[in-house]
Amino acid sequence: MIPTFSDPLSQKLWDGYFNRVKRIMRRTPYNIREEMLHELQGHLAESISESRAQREPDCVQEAIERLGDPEDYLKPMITERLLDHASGNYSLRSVILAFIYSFSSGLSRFIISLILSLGYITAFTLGLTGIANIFIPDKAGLFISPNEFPSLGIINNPSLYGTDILGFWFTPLSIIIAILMYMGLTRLWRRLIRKAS
Amino acid sequence: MKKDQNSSILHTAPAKWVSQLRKGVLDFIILIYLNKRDHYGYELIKDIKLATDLSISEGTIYPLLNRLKKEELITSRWVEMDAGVPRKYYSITTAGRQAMGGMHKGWMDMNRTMSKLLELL
Repeated sequence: MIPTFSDPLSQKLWDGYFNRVKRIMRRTPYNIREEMLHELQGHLAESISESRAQREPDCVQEAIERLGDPEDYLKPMITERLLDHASGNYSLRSVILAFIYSFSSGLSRFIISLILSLGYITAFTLGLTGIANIFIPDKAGLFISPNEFPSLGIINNPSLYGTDILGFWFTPLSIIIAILMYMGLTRLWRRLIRKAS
Repeated sequence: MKKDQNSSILHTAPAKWVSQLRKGVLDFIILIYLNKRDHYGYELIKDIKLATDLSISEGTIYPLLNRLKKEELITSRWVEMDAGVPRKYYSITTAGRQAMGGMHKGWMDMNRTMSKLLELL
């Protein structure tokens, strides 16, 4: 797949480009990564052979410029793929990786991910508070007082914030709501990212 | 200074709009070409660039082909060449042809509406 270059600079340009591709795609499954790599190598090799530049390194550079930065065209694709995966099995790893890729793959994706990250933080906080309620039931829960705004979370001095109204039910309810939020946010994220493409 | 800024916006806004419009119909353009015959990525982008004067980076086509494949509108296969590297050829599916038909109808409707509106200019 790799053409034979007479100038070492051409080889350096080629290797530099495909090292970037490999780095971006390092977290994608092996078969997908290899297939994309072969397809892009074939594309670049043909583009170089049709280049009209005089010097070989110029031909390689021109072909690379025409193909574009791999970060620009591969990151959105990988984000979409990760979200497809995440909305199928709700894998936390895929969600975290999708965040890493989407934060650096265009403004619209960055904004969508930033807004949704607040939702994920809320869901995780709720879930953690639910677990904390098992160990410190007096301090973790939903506290309501006639004079104060309802407080949800882990509180140092609960007597100031009223009474825990859910008691034993807080843990299962908060965990169920956190899971539903996580699933809903993941599906919503995939839908929004597809629309942004 | 402000006048210069305004003239720059007036110059770039239509160009940006046209570029967005072209990118928006890229799916449709790919399906039209694949309906004609099977293409590999480089060949497809070369044909598209020749016919549409589209100023996009060539790499942009691969995520699009990947998405169309995921939506089962196209399929792909590797073909060994007598000389040179194997090529990944893309073909349109029955669902792809149906989608292309729907896009064609949508485009014609839009064209009629816009033609009527443009008479008001």
